[in-house]
Amino acid sequence: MTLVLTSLALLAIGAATSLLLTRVPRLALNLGMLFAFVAAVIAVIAAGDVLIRSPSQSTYEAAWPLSLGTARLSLDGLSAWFLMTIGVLAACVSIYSVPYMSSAVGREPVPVFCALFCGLLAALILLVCAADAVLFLLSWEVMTLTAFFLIDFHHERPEVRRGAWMYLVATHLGTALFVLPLFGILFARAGTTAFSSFAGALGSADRTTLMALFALGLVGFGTKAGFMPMHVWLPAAHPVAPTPVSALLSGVVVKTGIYGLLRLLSWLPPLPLVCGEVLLFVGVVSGVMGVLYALAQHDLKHLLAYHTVENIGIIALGIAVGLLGEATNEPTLAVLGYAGALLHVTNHALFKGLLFLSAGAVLHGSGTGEIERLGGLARKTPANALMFLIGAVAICGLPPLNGFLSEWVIYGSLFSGSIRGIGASGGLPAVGVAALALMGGLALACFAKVFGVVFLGTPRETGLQTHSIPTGMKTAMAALGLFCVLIGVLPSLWVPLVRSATIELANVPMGEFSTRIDGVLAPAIRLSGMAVLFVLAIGGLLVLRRWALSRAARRDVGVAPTVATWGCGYTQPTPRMQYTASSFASSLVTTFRGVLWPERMFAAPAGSFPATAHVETRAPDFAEHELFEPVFRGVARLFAMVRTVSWRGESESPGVAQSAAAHRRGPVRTLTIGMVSALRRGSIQVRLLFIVLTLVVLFLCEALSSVDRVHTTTGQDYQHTLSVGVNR
Amino acid sequence: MTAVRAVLFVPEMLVVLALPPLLMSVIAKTKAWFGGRVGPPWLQPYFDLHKLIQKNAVYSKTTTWIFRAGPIISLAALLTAATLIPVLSNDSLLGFSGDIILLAYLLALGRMFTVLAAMDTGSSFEGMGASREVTFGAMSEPALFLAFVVMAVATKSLQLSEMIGPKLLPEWQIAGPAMILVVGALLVVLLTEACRVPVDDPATHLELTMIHEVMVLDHSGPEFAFITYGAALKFTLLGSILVHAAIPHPEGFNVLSPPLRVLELGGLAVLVGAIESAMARFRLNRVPMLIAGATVLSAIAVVLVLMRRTV
Amino acid sequence: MLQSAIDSILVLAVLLNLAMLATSRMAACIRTFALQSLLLALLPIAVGLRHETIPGAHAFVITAGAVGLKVFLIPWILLRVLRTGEIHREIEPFIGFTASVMLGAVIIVASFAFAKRMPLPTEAPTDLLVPVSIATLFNGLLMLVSRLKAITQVLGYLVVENGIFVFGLLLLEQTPVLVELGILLDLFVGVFIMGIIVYHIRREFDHMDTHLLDALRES
Repeated sequence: MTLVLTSLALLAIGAATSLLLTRVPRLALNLGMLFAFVAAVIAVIAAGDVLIRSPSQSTYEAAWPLSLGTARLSLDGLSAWFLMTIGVLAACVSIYSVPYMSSAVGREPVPVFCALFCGLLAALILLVCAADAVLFLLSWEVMTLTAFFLIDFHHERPEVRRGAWMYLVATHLGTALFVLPLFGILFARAGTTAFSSFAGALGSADRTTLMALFALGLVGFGTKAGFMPMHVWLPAAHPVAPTPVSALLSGVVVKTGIYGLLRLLSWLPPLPLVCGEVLLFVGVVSGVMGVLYALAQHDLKHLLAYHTVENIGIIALGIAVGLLGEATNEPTLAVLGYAGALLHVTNHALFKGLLFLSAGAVLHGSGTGEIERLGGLARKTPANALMFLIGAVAICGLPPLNGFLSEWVIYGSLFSGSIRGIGASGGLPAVGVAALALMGGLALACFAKVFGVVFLGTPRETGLQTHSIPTGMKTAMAALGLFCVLIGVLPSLWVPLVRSATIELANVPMGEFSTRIDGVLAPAIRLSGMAVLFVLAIGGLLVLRRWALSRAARRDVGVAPTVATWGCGYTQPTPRMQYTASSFASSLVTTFRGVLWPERMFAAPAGSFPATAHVETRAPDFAEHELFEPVFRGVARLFAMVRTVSWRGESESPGVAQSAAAHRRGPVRTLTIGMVSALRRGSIQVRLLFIVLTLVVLFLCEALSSVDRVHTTTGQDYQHTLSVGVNR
Repeated sequence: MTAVRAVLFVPEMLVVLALPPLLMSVIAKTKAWFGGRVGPPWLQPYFDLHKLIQKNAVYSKTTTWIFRAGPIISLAALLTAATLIPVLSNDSLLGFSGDIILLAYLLALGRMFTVLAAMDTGSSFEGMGASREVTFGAMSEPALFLAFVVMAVATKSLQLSEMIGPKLLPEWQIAGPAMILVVGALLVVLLTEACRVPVDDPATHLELTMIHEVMVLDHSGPEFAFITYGAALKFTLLGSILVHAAIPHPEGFNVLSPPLRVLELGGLAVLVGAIESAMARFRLNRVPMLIAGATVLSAIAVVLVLMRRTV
Repeated sequence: MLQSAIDSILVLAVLLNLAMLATSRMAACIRTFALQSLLLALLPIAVGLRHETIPGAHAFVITAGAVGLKVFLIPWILLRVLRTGEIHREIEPFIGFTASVMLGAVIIVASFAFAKRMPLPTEAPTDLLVPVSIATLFNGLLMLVSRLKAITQVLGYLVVENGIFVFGLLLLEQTPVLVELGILLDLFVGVFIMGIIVYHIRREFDHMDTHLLDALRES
């Protein structure tokens, strides 16, 4: 615990130092990031200590009371797991920030950046260690605000302001409307704000209360985590933040939502089955839609932001299986699900951090993140290409890197759910399996697109300058890449660390956990063997290739000749003839157009000597434009009626998309208009549709009413068995 | 696992590694028979590989190390996967619980690097092939995994050699229709992943209509030999999953079993050859329909098998 | 053995629904329907065989009626209309083919979920019967809603009837044969009239889209 306090103190000193040294920004940057680095490393040591040695928790209570609660800190398995994740990523990001931000020295307030960075880090550490609702909410708020200012760092650009505002509005709505009431209910039941008292107070809670608490947590924390309809701030805020901040946002800030949800679940007794089913559904939707939107993006960081939504969906799948396991009293399932989710939290932080940092290096070097303008970077920055490749292979969940490990555990939990017939008699986990498989395939397509277009081939634009990448940035990326490889190749060192956090979540005793986890996770050790085999196979093939080529070279003259790419007879290929990212993704985007609703603006070449032709595709976010925009516009209209004072430039309403987008016809509007006009014309099909819908509703009513019947009968059966037991 | 088994593994593995080009030959012979021709000699694929390995490689100016690594990593992934799949007997060399997921993702790893090597050339043709490959690959993944769910539920195991082993025999009696659907889905997955008609035509020489062949246009020499061999190996591995699921052999080691498996694989090759002779390649925009159909087959099989289990 | 034969027939019938949604050729669609009807027509005998050693005359009458009408007569009428009406033989869907197949699959999975919760008057001969019946019914409705042409609408209507036919097997023993025959007769008359109407629409207006029929109004 002293280590955590030391780390917090160091961060405070770091923030203060960089603010004091505003006159010497370079020194402020170096010192501030040094403090952040040391603090992060100390936090990792503190977390590692808890994870490796003792599952018992250590607490600290500050002498000074807060207005409602006490400043109580505690470090249990769950906190330590997230603390470790935060520490590892923050340490790498702080190394990376020094060279990345030094180019901005003199032009931008870098010392303020450092202070905010330290503040964000301190808030994150405080958040996961807080053992009191008031302290938790305080650090939650500090985290939100520091992150907001960091996102808004380049505030002179309008899209930055828009992204930052959307982040602030979204998370504050989530906090005010859902997280605060959640803690209000908890406080009302427990009488204190101490986390330790919540679990006991909820032991006797009825079904409705539990479900209400779960729903509040799901929406409130889900807004921060970015579950599907509440994800709208992610793709707006991630790309506009400075790269180190994007990496932190995607790697750990988003994960605090997951932490909040898991912390809530650790207090709740086993929830009704329906909670797990809902979360599974949320996970499937977030995952599949996240990766589909990612495919349709043209900007590197936008694409990565949507992949965060996808990975949050994967984590949600793991937690959902954990819930299902708890609800049906299947400890194996609970252990597997939660362990998979926790492993994926860390793994995602590592490879997504790596990818953001690598994308930042591309931005830093080429000055643009537009995929279509880049190309052939692997020749200019081979180290960065290797780093991005490691991140890409890891995020696709491909062996032998870390992404595979956690997806493997989650797959295992879903398969076991199906085998045991849990969740719509095993059907829902099967849906999860299919969705996870589809996500894997689509993520592969997406990263094949990004890596293939940005790093491979030849440069698409000659005008782009390319700086070399400073050593500091390379070091940070190399560290993250090394973690990705090590975790994937040596899971037996890594998986045991998740032990204490999983025990707390799954409510299983230690001994039981060991037997469960050994039975299920023991095969993870086999992955190391497979990795060795894989490397041996590569080595063998390399030797074979070298031998064959050298023999051929001895026979022919010289070594392997180098020529232009085979253009099927065309001998003058130009960079502009390369396949573009949009073309690469278009076959998938058109296949899934029914759920993605891509827009396409196309000016066909005309005449014998076509001058200009133009095609532009984009995939506007459904939730943003069809769900929140109408609501916010309605609210804005409502307030406009009340408002008496007006000022110039009021048309810019923060958080809501600009009015240009408002006039386009989204899918909902298109469908409604089409339906209504067809109905007015008297289309047979639409009339039939209404008959069919009536029939469906009748069927649903019948099915639901018989559900009640089933429930009551099982209740009676239960009582019957009880009474039989008593009689006996 | 007995000592006998351990000793027998070496020859088994050698047969498995030697078999793939022969199966390609069976397909070619079948197509020739349908066309009223004699066809190339039985050992032609081996001659081709020998010829390729002797040749020098030609590299494009635009390529990087990724281009050279692509074929090697793809084939290495397939070789690693080969140790997880039971081909001739009911056991695999290194199978463990959960190996099906590793297997599917090893195939995906191979796909990733084939695609990246294609993108490395900067050619629009190869980009086109790569785009189609990832599209159909991504779409066939749910079909494959749902088929795995059926077999996992039926055998209560997550180890491939058990899932498609003797434990599947009773399932054929209890839920026959479901198993037929699974086999149908696996056949479509096989045709997609191994790039055969009606998804892809390995024989055509029109760059615009191909998927796999167009991706590897720029490879030459030993690397092209790796790719050709890898494609045949992939067919063999996925084919043996299909064959094992369709015709589970009873428990225990049987002398007749391995030769029978070889014959069954040959039969599958004849079937694929017959399909290629009987039907044309699908229009590209009809292929997603085929793969979606396979997914639907698997999904219905999942429903059937889950229902049978709970009743 | 008989059980698995019944199950296979039912599963195949469900898959034929999807085949009908997937096919783009009207003639192929009609033939698929004929095949589905043939398979389903075998069911009364098969179910009868399960109950007794020799199925009653009842089952044979229904089978004969269904085969005669839905396997031969109605497809023949429809194919004739298709030929003589010189209708463009591609199906024009509102919803794309792949999307309709996926929707159809969702319907099938949902009907399995529903069927488990349906209270039944009698015990079903096999637990696949009710879900298959609901799935066929809703797939027919999907065809009705999503297809443009008059003929495919007739076909959708016929598929709905097939679904009801399967459900009728539940009450095979209870329903008087007269009722079953009455339903078949209704069906025949319905299709017959539709055939005539479709033929005349074609003669008068030179096209077959119900979509364009919307333009017909009094005033």
